[in-house]
Formats: sequence, C-alpha cells, structure tokens
Amino acid sequence: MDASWLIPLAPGLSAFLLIIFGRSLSRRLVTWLACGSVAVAFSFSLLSALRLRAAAGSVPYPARILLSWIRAGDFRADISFRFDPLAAVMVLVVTGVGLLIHVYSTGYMAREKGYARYFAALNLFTFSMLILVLASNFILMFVGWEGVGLCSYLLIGFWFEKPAAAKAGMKAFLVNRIGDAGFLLGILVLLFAVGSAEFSAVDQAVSGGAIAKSTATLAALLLFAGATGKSAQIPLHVWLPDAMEGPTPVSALIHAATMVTAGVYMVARMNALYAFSGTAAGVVAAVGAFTAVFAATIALVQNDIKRILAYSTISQLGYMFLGCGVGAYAAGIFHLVTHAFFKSLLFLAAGSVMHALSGELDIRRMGGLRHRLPLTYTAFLIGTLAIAGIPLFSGFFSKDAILSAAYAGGHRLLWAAGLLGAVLTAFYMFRLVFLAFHGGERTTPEVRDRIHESPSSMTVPLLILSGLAAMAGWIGIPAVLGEKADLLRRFLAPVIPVIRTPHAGSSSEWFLILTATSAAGLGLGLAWLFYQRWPGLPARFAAWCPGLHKILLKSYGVDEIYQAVLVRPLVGASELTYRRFDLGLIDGAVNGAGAATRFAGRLAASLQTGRIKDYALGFLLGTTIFLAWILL
Amino acid sequence: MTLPTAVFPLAVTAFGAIAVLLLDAFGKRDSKTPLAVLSLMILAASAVLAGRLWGRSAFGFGGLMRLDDAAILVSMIVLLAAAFTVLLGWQWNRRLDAAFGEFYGLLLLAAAGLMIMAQTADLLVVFLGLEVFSVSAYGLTGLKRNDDKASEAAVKYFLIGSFAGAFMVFGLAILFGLNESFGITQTAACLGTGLPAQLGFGFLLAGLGFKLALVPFHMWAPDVYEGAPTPIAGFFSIAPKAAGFLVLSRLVAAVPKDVWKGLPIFPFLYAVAAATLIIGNLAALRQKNLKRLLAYSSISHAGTMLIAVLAGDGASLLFYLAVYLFMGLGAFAALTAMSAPGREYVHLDDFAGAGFRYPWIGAIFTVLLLSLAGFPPTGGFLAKFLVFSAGVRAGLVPLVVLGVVTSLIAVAYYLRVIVAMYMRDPAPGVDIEAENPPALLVLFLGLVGVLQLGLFPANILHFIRQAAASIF
Repeated sequence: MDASWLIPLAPGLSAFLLIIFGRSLSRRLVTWLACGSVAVAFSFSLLSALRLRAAAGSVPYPARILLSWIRAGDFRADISFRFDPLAAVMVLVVTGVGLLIHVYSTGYMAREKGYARYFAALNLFTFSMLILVLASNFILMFVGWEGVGLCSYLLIGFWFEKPAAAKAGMKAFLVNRIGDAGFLLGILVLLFAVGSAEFSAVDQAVSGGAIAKSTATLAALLLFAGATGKSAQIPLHVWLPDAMEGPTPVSALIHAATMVTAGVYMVARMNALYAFSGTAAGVVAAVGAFTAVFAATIALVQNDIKRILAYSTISQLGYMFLGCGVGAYAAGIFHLVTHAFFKSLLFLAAGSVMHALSGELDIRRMGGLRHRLPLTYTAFLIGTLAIAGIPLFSGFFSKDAILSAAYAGGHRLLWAAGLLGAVLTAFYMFRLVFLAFHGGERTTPEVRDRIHESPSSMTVPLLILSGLAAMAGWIGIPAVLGEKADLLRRFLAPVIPVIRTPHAGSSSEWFLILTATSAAGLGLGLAWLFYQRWPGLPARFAAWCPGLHKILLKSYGVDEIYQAVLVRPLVGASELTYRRFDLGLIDGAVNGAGAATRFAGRLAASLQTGRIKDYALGFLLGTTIFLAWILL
Repeated sequence: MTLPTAVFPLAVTAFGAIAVLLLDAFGKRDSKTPLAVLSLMILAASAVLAGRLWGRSAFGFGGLMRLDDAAILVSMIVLLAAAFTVLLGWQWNRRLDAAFGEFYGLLLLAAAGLMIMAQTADLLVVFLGLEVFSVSAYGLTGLKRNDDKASEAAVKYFLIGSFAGAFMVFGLAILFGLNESFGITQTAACLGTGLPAQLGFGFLLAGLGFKLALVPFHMWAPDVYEGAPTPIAGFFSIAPKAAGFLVLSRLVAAVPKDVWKGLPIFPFLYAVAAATLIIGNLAALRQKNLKRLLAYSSISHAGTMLIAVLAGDGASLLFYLAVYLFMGLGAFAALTAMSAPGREYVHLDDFAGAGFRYPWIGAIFTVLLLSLAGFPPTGGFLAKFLVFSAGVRAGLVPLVVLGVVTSLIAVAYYLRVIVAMYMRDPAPGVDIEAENPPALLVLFLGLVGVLQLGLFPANILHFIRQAAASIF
C-alpha cells in the first residue's frame, strides 16, 4: 500500500494538539507527542522510499489527489501529493534529520518555560515542510512555502523577551516575503502560460514547446527570486545571520538542513524549465557561485560561532545553486543531503558548546575546549572535515560533484570561484576549530567551573549525525571510481534525466579531485599557520589592510545599504501617510473632546480644526483630478 | 398576481425593520433580547425568500427591480453580515447602560438599503438604496450618544456623506439629461459618446467611491470605524462594499469590452485602485488602534476588489466579497469578544498576551488575521490569488504586481497583532471579559467560513460563477 500521503499527517496532528492543549500537557507527554509524531513520519518515509526503490523505473509517479481543491473553469488546483525519488530524498532528510533534532531539543530546551510552544512550532514546521516537498503543484507548494516561513518566524522570535530576537524574526519574515512576492508572480506567469499549476503540466509544456522561451525565462527568474529569499542568496541573504537569534536546534533544522534548502529543491524540481530557459539557469549558477564566495569571505572574520556557521550555510547553499545552474541538478541535491547532515551536526555541536559554556557565543572567549568536551569536539571536527571537503568525508564527494560538473560544462570561471570558495571554507572552518577547541583556555573562571558535557539526549543525535556526515558521501561516488557507484544520481534519474548532467573525462576527473583536495588542504594549512603556528599573524593582517577587515566584519554593509535605500523610505512614506491622513484626526478628536463636552461646542471645535473641511477637500481634489484628466 | 415575488426579500427586511423600531418604541424597555431574536428571524426569512428565487432572475416594478443571481448572492452576503452584526451586538445591547433598541431596527433598515442597491439595474434606484443605507448608517455610527468620539464620527460621516450624495445626484442628472434614462445599460451605452457622459460618470463614481472607501474618498472610514460600535464597524467594512462593488461591476460589465479600456474612466479607476492599495496599506502600518487598523485594512481590501472590477471578472470579485465577509467580520468579532463591560479594548497593547489567556479566541483570531494577510491555505489567499490571476489575464500586470507587493507590506501590520497576542506578556490592568457566547459564535463561523472557502471552495465557486454570469 502506498503510504506516502500519510507522512505529513502525524506531525500535523501533533502540532494541532500542542497548539490547543500544549499548556495543560505534562512535559513528558509533550516530548513523546512531538518526537513520536516525527518518528512515525520518518518510518512512513522510509517505507515509502523502499517501496519506490523496489519498483524503480516501472511506473511513472502519479499525483495522488487527496482533495479536489479549486476547480474554476480553466483554473484547477488540487491538494495532491506526488512521491517520486526527488520527494523521497527530501522527506527522508526532513523527517530523519528532523527526528534527531527533535530528540536533541528535548535536552537543549529542557528548562524552557515555553517547552510546549517550542515543540508545537517545530512540529508545525515539519508538517509544512513535508507539504512543500510532497506537493504536486505550485499552489500547494506555496502553502508549504508560506507555512515554513511562518514557523521559522515564530521560532526565530522564540525568545521574544530579547528585542534582538523579535526584530530578527520580523526581518526574516519580511525579507522572505519579498522573495515570496516574486514566487507568487512566477506562479501566476506559469499559470497564465501553461494553464495549470501542476509540475507535470509545466514539464510537458516545456518538452512539448507549448511555452515561449522568454515566458519560461521570466517565470523561472521570478520563481528564483522566491528561492533567493528562502535560501538566503544574494541579494536577499541578509535575514539568515540574524536568524541565529533563535534556539540553536532551530538553526540546525530550519536554517541549515531543511527550510533554507527549499529553494534548491524547487529549482531541481523545475529542472526542465530552467534547462529550457538557459538564461535562467545561467543566472542561478552565477548567483550561486557569487554567493558562495561572498558569504565565505564574510565568515573569515566573524567571531560569533553561530554567525560563522550562518554565513557558511549561505555559502554552501550557493554551491547547491551553482550545481543546479550548471545543469548538475542531482549534484545540487547531493550536496543538499550531505550539507543537511554536516551542517546540522555543526550547529548541534555548537549548541552543545553553548550549553556547556552558559550561552557563550564568542570564539575569542573559548579555546582549549577539546579536553573538556571531547565528544562535542569529535563531532565538531567530523563536521568540519566534511564541510571543508577533506577526502572520504561526505562534503568532499558532493562538492566535487558540483565543481566537476561546472568544469565539464565549460564554466571555468564558475569552477574557479567554487574552488576559491573551497579554500575559504576550509580556512574559516578550521579557524573556528583552532580558536574554539585548541590553544589556551580563554574562558572566564566562573564559566570554566561549570563546563560539562551535554546529556545523552543531546550527544546521541550528535553521534548519529557524525556517522552520517562522515559516510553519506558514499551514496554519490564519482563515476571514475566505479561505474555504477553513483547511487543517488541513478535513484534520481527518473526526475532528473542524467543527460542533462555533463561528464568530464576520466583524466580530467582525477585532475579535479586533486585540485579540490589541494584547495581544502590549502585552506586547512593556512588556518593552521594563522591560528596555530603564528597566532600573531591575523592581527597583523588586519592592521595591514584595516579597511578590508572592517568591511568584512560589517558583512559588506549590505544591511546598512538596505536600511538607507529601502527601509527608511518605506518607513518615511508610512510616516507621511500617517501624519497627513491620520495624526491630525486623532489630535482633532482629542482636542475636541478636551475643549468642549457639549456636542455643539465640539462640533464647532472640530470644524475649526478644519478636519471635516479637509475631508471634503480631499474628496473634491479627487474629483478635480479626474476632471482634469478627461479634459486634458 | 399583484405583487411580484422579486419584491418579497426586500419587503420582509424593510417592513421587519419598521416593526422592530416600533416594537422598541412601544415595547418593554428593559430587555432587548426579543428584538435581537426577531431581527434574526426577519433576516433568515428574507434570505430564504431570496434563495428560492435562485436561478430564475425575477423582475419587478416594470424592470426597476432586478433579482438576478448576482443580486441574490450579494443580498445573502448583506443579510449574513447583518445577522452576524446582530449576534455581535447582542451582549452589547443587554447591558442596560448601553442598550439601544434602535441598533436592530436601523441595522435592518441599512441592510434593506443595500439590498435595494444590489437588486436593481436602475441608477436612480441605486441612489435611493444608497440614501436609505446612509441615513441609517449615520444613526448607527452615533449610537453611543454619550460618547464624544461617536457623535463626532457621526457628524463627520453625515457631512461628508451628504457631500458625496450631492456629487452623485449631480452625476445622475447629467447622465439622465444625455440619454433620458437611468437604466445601467443605456447609461453605459452612452459612455463612449463624449465629455458630458464622462463627467456624469465621474461624479457618479465619486459618490460610489465614498461608500466603498476608495482613495481619495476614504478619509471618513477610520474615524467612523473608531467612533461606531465595534459590531457596526464590522458591518460597514463588508456590507456596503458588497452592494457598491456589484453596482460598479454592473456598470463596467455593461460597457462593451473594446470601448472600456479606451475610456478615460479606465485609467482613472486604475489610478484609484493603485492609490487605494498604497495608502491603505501604508497608513495601516502605523496604527495602534485595532479598529483604525482594520479600517485601513478594509480600505486596502477594497483596492484589491477594484482590481477584479477593472479586470471585468465578476466571479473573483464575488468570491473575494464572500471571503471578506467571514474574515473581516470575524476580526471584528474577535474585538467584540475581547471587550469588557463599559469599555472597548481596541489598543494593540490591550491585546498583549491575550493569546495565552484566551487560547481559542487567540487561535481563531490568528487564523483570521492570516487570512486577511492572504496566507494559504485560508480563503484570503485563494481570494487574492483568483483576483490576481484574473488581473494578469486581463493584462493589468502592473496593478497585480502592486497588489502583490502591497499585500506583502500588509503582512507586517497583521503580524504585529499576532506578535502582541503571543509574544508579549499580558498587560496589567486590562480586564478583558471574554464571556460573550454570541460573539464567539460569529468568531467560530468566521473561522469555518475562511477555512471552508479556502480548502473546499469548489461548491461555492460553482454558485459564484453562476451569479457572475448574471451580472450582465
């Protein structure tokens, strides 16, 4: 029996129960409900994926219509799921990593008073994310798309007593909405051009030539605007670093492993459209490559452990888009999967560090932690080896897949950018490791006395994720090492045709593996020189070019620019509208009420303030404008 | 047959209104509950009578009354809005210090006026209906006689309303002089003929724009919403819109499609829609008073509805109105449910932490606000989506883009209310009484409506398309 449509059910139900009854349930029950529901979803995902694998290639993947939603003449949208290999990979990541993070959260959030509220939002998030990846049409995908945004907002602002957290939540939400506006317009364009919002219909229109190239490009670019918002790509990347104000498990689940990858998933899902457009794919690749380097340079100088990881996430998402943009959609998804493992591992390990150090985030006040937190250190090190692309760890394979595709497709510039990003990645990650876990202890004495390894509810997920981060690369071994070894690509082949993925020859493949390895080695070596061998070097570099250092510390000042160019004018316009149309009226009313109690007196008073006259004037003005309009 | 069946729904409401007013004047003064029950019965009877005519397009009084499917649907919306308002006012009117029997009578009369507007194809009758509604509306606004703000709002409404009425009469006079008819079809036919017709139409639009609170004829709305009793403000936010937009779309639909986009009226309405979207949303951003916030919100929703009118797509307009009935009035129901005896809590700070104190009200209010903001899978999203896709089809791309962008801004102010309810600690000294079963019923119905229209719109869309086909 096909049980894939049941996957979102349990988290959704649990979220509903927790929202309504959460405050009256015991913590124990909340824990079991929240984790149990995700465990159920994971089992269903696993069963469905195995079933899919057994029946590989024999069936097309029909959309399962759960509910006929809107049928209005030519417009039609259903609540329907399609469980194909791509969706299978995504639900496994969402429920699998999600389950581990739910378990971790029970330890990390144990002393929070909003325990039930936290898990309600986390379950609701899981539910929405599953809707997003299982949807068989854009309208339903948009439902999930907005849902995950909302939950992300709720969880970033979880500690709403902290003004920074509340502000960060709002910022994330509004920046995302800008992208969403593009996304919605993209859907409208496709709907107009294709007549249906079903993914399969769009694919058919593309392959059947029923859609003009320019229209396809427009739609693809508008959809990509949505992806830049959700997946924090330039120019809409500004919300993700601030989103680190949320609890660390949330950063791991939503802002590293799942939600932020929704944009990559969408592009991979629409691979036919992007490949057909060409231009749009080029834009995706360029934005991805640029973001990968851009964010990595910022991460070089940050001192907040979570912010470093946040910029690293932005950079790694850039790699995924680079992969999709050069036509290696499977490689993009491959990196999505490995990144989900190693980045959530890094975040959870960072959370474990914070837990031990009473909430310390600044790596300048850490140091020497490897002796005190051996388990956490091991986990963090494995994550770092994976993300830096050290051979045999998962990140190596997925990054190599992307870079070799860029090279083979003839995009030498993009390939070089990716390589540069790889050096930077290895550098900033090992900088983090050396500063936080090696060297002398720079923690304050009172913090030092209370350092302790985390409870098992937190360390067990770390162990499992360490295993995955180390080994997950083996699902995508490059062709040069074995003809049929590339499991993931073959699994995805029905959705992402292999033809679209260019291959390099055997010798150049070896050359690419070597360059990628040297890049990682170079970054590692430089970090060792800077932070182990000669610790005075970074300060001298900063003094050598203070301007550059400052710009990097300020993240290129993008926030300030947006503030000046977008936010302030908007606030100003609102202020103006408010003053012109609203404030005077309140003043008038207050003055009126204060000055005279009798009706006639007050009427006169309000007439004297001129407000009513103003209204009539506005009215007259409108009509006059119209008259002028038709007379001219 | 002496009386045409087309008159029955209207007659029941109008005579019912008079009966309720008389009963109030001569009946016992200490309880208003029987009046509320009677009003509900009258509204229900009227709705049943109107519903029985579905699909039959009844006419009366030599064609002056036109009870087509669109008119029936809009009448249903008006009647349902009035019924919701009765329920919301129930508790408010039980308190002796605030009890006003006129509430029910005037409300029914206002509903009757709007029904007249909806059920005709004659502009003079439209004006008649508009004035019946307006006069009742002035009274409803100033119901709290001892409240300064209410009296002031009523006077403002009255003065500007008369101004608008004068404009409308002037426009009608010009149009009548041109083609010696008040019929919508004849009037629309002469629109392409020249300047005087354009002028007349412009004045007419100014008058209608006032009732619909379109920019720049909108300025009364926040003051009136603030001064009027909360249930009445809820009624104002939807019912006049339903009737007014139907009249407007009848006019637009009667103009031949190829002529329509060439008329100077078209760019004017285009600009009005753009201004309404911008001003409504920007001004709402700064509001701390929820009644004023909802007033600006309703202005911005009127802007979106105007997109549907410009696109000439009756179905998406009617669907939007149906959704707005539930989400708009539902939001006012939440305000009503959270007010205490003798005091309305409408400031944002009053709602701090309310989501924890009243989990059910908070949760439903949240869903309604998300629907107003256009979040899927609520009805608010679907309504916006249908309007926008109709707009794209009709080639109004810049306006649709503006609509999408401003609805993005809108999220900020709706979200602020949710933030206050869930992300702030309860304010001290706010003693909200949430024991108001009739208001809770409306709140619940609002939730059901918003979800029903968002998740299972198929049946209703079927009816709405049938109604839209009958607009002209």
